[in-house]
Parts: sequence; C-alpha cells; structure tokens
Amino acid sequence: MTMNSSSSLSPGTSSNYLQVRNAWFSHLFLRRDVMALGSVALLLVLGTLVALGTGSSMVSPWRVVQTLLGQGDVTDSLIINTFRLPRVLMAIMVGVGLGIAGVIMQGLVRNPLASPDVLGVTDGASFVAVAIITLFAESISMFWMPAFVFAGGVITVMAIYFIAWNGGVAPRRMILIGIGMASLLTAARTVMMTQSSIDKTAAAQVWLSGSLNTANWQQVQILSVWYLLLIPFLILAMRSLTAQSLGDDVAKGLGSRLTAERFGLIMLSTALATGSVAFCGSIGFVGLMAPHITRRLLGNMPELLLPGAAMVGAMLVLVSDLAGRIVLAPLEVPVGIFTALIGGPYFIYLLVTKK
Amino acid sequence: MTAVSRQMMMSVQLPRGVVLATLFFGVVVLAVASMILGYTGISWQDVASAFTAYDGSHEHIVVMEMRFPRVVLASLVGASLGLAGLFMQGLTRNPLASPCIFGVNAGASLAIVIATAFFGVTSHEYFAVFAMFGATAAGGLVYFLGMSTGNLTPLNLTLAGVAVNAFLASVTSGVLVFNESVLDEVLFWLSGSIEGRRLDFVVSLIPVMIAGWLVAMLLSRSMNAQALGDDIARSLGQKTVWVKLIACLVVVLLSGMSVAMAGPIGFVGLIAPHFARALLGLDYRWLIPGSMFIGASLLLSADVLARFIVWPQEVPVGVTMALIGAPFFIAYARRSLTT
Repeated sequence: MTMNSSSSLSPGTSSNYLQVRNAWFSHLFLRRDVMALGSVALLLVLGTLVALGTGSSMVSPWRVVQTLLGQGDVTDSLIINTFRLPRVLMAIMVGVGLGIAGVIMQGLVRNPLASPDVLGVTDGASFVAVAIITLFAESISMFWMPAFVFAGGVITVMAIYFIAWNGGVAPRRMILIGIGMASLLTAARTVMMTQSSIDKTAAAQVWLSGSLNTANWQQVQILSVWYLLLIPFLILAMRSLTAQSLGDDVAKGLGSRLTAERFGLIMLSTALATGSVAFCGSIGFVGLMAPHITRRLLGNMPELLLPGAAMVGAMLVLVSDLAGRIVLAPLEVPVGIFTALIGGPYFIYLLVTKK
Repeated sequence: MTAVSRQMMMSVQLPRGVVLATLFFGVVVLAVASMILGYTGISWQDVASAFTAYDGSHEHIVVMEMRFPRVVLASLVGASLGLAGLFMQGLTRNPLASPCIFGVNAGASLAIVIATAFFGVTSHEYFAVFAMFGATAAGGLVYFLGMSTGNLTPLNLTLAGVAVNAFLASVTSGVLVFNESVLDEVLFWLSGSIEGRRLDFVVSLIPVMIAGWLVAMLLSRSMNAQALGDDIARSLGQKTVWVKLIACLVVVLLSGMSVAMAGPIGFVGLIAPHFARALLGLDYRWLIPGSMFIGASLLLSADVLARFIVWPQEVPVGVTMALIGAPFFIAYARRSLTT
C-alpha cells in the first residue's frame, strides 16, 4: 500500500488530503480526519496505560511501559501481566465489538437511536445464561457457558429475522419484533430467577449487570481469534454499509443485493456483539454511544467511522470498568452499570436535540 | 389501528351496546373462573355459598381470603391500566404508547429497591408510596421529554422507552448487586404480583382510583375533539391545554396506583386499547369502558394462567402478562410496519 500526498487530481487544497492507492483500494482521506483518528488512538493508548497502573496498588505509566516490555520487577509484572492486562484487553475488545456492531446497526436501520441491544442479542444471551446458572449449574461446566450463551444470542437474532420476514426484512419491523421478543425472554428469565435459590438468583443478577471481573487470558485468546476471523467480513461490510445508508432505492440502483447484504450485516453485527456478551454479560449503551461520539469527531465515512467507533467503544468500556473498580473500592461496580449511567442520560440528550 | 382494526371492524357489525355488555360478561366469567381454578379446586356452588352463607370451611377461607382479593385487585388494576394506555395512545397519537413504555414500571421498581436498600422499608404500604412516587417521576419525565421533542414516531418512542427502561433497570440491578438480601425480598414484587396482597390496603386506594375513572369519563367528549387535532379541538371550543393536562394527571395517577397495588405489569395498557378500538370504533364514550373491561379481562386471565405455568408453584402475574402480551406485540409489529 502506498501512501503519499496527492497530486492535482484531488479536490480542494491538495495539502488537505492524503491519498491511499493500490490495486484494490483507492481513497482520499482528509488530513484532519486522519489526525483526529490518530488522536483517538493515542488517547486509547494513554487510557490503557492508566488503567493498567490503577488499582489497589498504583503503578506509574512509565513503569507500566517498562513492565510490558519485560523490564519491570517481579511484583509489577505479576500485578500487570497476570491480573490487570487480561481485564484491560477484554475491556478494549468488548468495546471494539460493541462499537462496530453499533455502527452497523444504525447504518442498517438508518435510525440513530438503534443499537445492537435492541436486536435481541443481549436478551437471547441473558436467557441462556440465566438458564444455565439457575437450572444446569451442576450439569454444564462453566467453561462452556460462553459457547451456549453465544448460541443463545445468535439463535434469537435468527428467530427475530425469520419472524420479521415478509418477502424481505424491513429493519424497523425487525427492531420492534426484537423488542417484543426481548419482553418474552425477560419474562421467561424472571420465571427461572423467582423459582431458584437465592445464591443462584444473585449469581444470575451479577451476570445480568455485565462484569469484567472474570476476565482471563484464555478469554482474550478466544475473543481475539474470533475477531480476526471477522475482519475480512468487516472490510466487505464497509462498502455495503455505505450503499445501505443511502436508502433502499439508491442501494438497489447501485447494484446492492439488498436482502442478502442486509442479512450479512445483521449477522456480522450479531457476531461482534454476542462475542462480548458471551464473556462479559450485558454491557448496554456502548453500541449506541460509540457511533454518535465518533460521528461527531470524524464524520460519516464508514472507512473512518468503523475504526473510530471501535476505538471510542473501547475507550468507553475501559473507562467505565476503571471507574467501576475505583469509585467504591474495594467494592467493584459492574461495568454494565457504569455504561448505563453514562448512556441513559446521553440517550435522553440525543432524543431532545434530535431534529 | 390501521389495517388490523379496520379489518376486524368490518367483520364485527354488532351494536356497540351488545359488544360492551359481552365484554362485561367476559370480566364476570373470568372473575368466577379465577375463584374456582387453582391449587385448591373449588366448585362454583362453594364459591356462591362463601358469599351467601360463609361457614369458615377450608374452601370458604380460600375463596374469601385468597381468591377474592386477587380478583378484585386484578380487575381494578387491569381496568386502570387499560384506561391509562388508551389515554396515552390518544394523547401522544401513538399506537405503541403505554405506561410500561413510559418507564412507569421501571421507575416504580427503582424507587422500591432504593427504599428497601437504603431506608430499610419492608412493609407493603410503604412500598406502595415509594412505587407511586417513582412511577410518577419516571412517567412524567419521559412524557414531557417526548412531548418537548415534538412528534415522536412510534419507533422512536419505543426506542426511547427501551433506553429509559434499560437505564432505570441498570441502576436497579446496580443497587441489587450490592444488597443480596434486598434482592430476595423484592424480586417477586419486581416481577409484578397480585398474590398475597392485603385487601385492607387496596380498599384505601379504591376511591382514588374510581375518582380517576370518573374524571376520565367526564373527559370523553373532550378526548373525542382532541382526536381531531389541536386546531379543530380549539375551534370546537375546547381548552386543549387543560384537557391534556388533566388527562395526563389521570394517566399518571392510574398507572402509578396500579404499580403500587400490583407491581410492574406490562402490556395491559398497550393491548387493551387496540382491542377496544377494533371492537368499538373511535368514540371515547365507548372506548373508555371498553378498554377497562378488556384490561380487566386480560389481567384476570394472566392471573389464572400464573397458577398453572409452573404447577404447583405460582409465577408472578407480570410474567404471564408478558408471555401473553409479547406475541401480540410481535404480531402487531409484523402486520403494521411494512417499511
């Protein structure tokens, strides 16, 4: 891939643009946008260093860097590499997944108030998780729980998709059906919770609040492999997302196979969101907030929006988890509660300022 | 509204008086069924004699102490929720509006959990006061937010409701995660339950509830004018601001008291008005009693069902109501949204 300042071909003042061009890809980037994206990335790196250093024993960012490079002392290395790093990486990856899933959902529904939360992912996953915790705790090993939870999320989305099918799937219809399905699953979940013993109910309640405190290296490995598998699809999705955002008719005119691409996008969004729900429970509002904040910073181009929302989402989860760890220390507030505390008011603000 | 109800209207050509009488008869039948069916099967003769010649037998105690209070509660709460839903849908001109969407239930739940966790409240009387307060605060907030942003589309209203509910629910579970003992105490309440509620407390709220119903009836002509749009209503001599304000008060009062009496119960307020409009047309003078009868029937059926789902244990009636209501909501979304 070559990257050089553009020649006279580019519109406007040439120095405002960066041209990226090779056999498969050709794009002009606004320098300002690239700078903005860079700043977000820098902020994320700084945030990570602070998160790694903060906790019951404080480590300075410089020592964190040294430890990460393998030059710290034994205590630091134990604290950071064993306890904090997997958790911080999990927070980042969960945020990346939810942020991108949010961009896809909002682009698909063409409604800025949509988010992967209303697609039924969280509710299907929660239903299965509560079922396992309250009914099958003895027969199913906790190690396999994420797999079942993942399946629950995907099956729910598929069910909603097929119920919403009526010679094609209208995203708005799908959302409302998703909300109906969510009530149904919540009701069933409540039956299980009211019928089981209090310790199981409490365990289920913790899962439902969304928490990162069980994060470990194995989860990090599984989730990163999962994301790596999804990257090619994401690159494909960028294009189709641009076409979809222009409206059904324009998308068709541009040669987009509307139904097939829509199904693909829904599944991709599901795959991303469910991956994080499977390990960390329901962490709400990230998929709603990340795209909005990113749009404000970087504009609407999917090429910038997707990586931008990924980083902003990561930042949101990272900061929420950090806040959850220190605000009521030594008690830990589940991360999902913090994202909701920021997200709820933010949503109301969106609603009020919306034209 | 729209295609679904018009279709149904064409098939039902009965006079509205007959329809309304049938609906009322339905409530009575369900009320009797609710006294007969359950863990202790009771014959209808025993039910009758419990009222006419109470002799303190096991069956009579079950009827008078357990079943009858539930029937009263389910009917009152169901009717109030149906009415509140009807007014909400009318005021917002939005077929998906309902007390639940406006965060009334989630607000009440949060208030109860806070009351239990931080103020050590355990008696149901105080629960009701806090529930009322939380419901009014949340419902009022969402309503005025929605109104201030102008016309909310049904989809946006629903999304707003989902977000507000998710926010309040997160705060609720945040409090619960740190107070495991509170969880045990309030979980059954949080799922909406009319089992084991004392009638003496309900009795004190009944006059207020009935006053709400009466005010609603008095508003029926104004609501008819309101349905034609603000401008026409004004030119017909309506004081639109006052009508809206009083109607809002009725809605908040009725839904708040329902939560206080029975805990958070969804879908009654959403569904009842749709059936009422399909059967009775658009005149509020018929719609108000219609929605109330249908709401009462819905909750009575849900209550009977709640005794059989996980036999011999009971599930909260809010859960069975969701199990009945959600499929309706899904079917509605499927039919009415074509784009």
